[in-house]
Amino acid sequence: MEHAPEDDDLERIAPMLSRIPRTDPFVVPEGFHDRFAQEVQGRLPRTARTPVWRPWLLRTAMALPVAALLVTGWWMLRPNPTEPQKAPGLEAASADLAEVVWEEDLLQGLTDEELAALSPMPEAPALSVEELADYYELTGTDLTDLIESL
Amino acid sequence: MAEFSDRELLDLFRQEGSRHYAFNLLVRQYQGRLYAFVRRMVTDPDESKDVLQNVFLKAWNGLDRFREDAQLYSWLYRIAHNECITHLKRLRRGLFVSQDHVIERLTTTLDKSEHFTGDAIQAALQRAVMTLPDKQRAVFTMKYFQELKYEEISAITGTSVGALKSSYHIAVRKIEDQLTRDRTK
Repeated sequence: MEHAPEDDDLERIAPMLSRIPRTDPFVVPEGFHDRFAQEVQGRLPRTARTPVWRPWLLRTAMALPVAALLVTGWWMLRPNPTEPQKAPGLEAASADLAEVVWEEDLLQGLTDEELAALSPMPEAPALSVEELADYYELTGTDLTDLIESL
Repeated sequence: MAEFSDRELLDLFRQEGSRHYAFNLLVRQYQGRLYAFVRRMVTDPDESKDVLQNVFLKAWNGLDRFREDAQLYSWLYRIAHNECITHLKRLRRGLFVSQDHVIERLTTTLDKSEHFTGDAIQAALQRAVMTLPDKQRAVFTMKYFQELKYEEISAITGTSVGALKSSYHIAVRKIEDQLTRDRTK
């Protein structure tokens, strides 16, 4: 056995200990090392190896179906902007009739100015003189008749 | 038995067909050194066998995640060290007894000639070693009996080399005092 510098230190601080031979006095049961590896094999699972799931992979695998469910749920339950809002009490009427009645109800009692304000294009873009002349020429409007009618 | 390198054992282990064969080689390669350590910590032969079996079962379960920047031997030793400490703690809790009773139980093995062949001075040394706290006893066993380097023990226990040196020197002094007291009795 190699004599390490630590051994000199050991002789100095622990002379009794350093004189005791470093043998292994524990008896190993007979045949222990021959049988042991076999005994360990007997306790190992025999099934095929299961894939190792890394924590981040496991989390992702669990999060994806949950996210898909959430997106599907939102898609199914989201408000549809193209669907016309039905007035209460008109469920029995047909869709077309309900729309007409609803519009008439809404427009009843409005002044001309208020009706004009509800127009989808309340302010038509102003045309230039040239554009106006082109327009009358294209539609064949007689300008003299037009002036007289005004 | 021919020694296999860590690389050879791990390569074999990672192939589905040779997984059990590789692990059998690994057990045969390291069981002797690990048994010597576990036996000195646990002393009872049956308990030592159970602890060592648990060590290898844990190794089987963890070998896929073994990082090759460490040595297989150090990694196995670390599992064995942790298993021994856990076993001794469990023993203490299970018995609901003082440290003296545990020491008495551990030294029972020394009185049976079929388990211990040492002479009186060897028995006195073992009794002195048993009086050390578990972790200090593990450090002393690895350094004194198994002649591991401080760096290796540091990798196994996760303790700094400086702290290990202090722990070892305190252990040596305690054992020397105990041996001196035994001699003067």
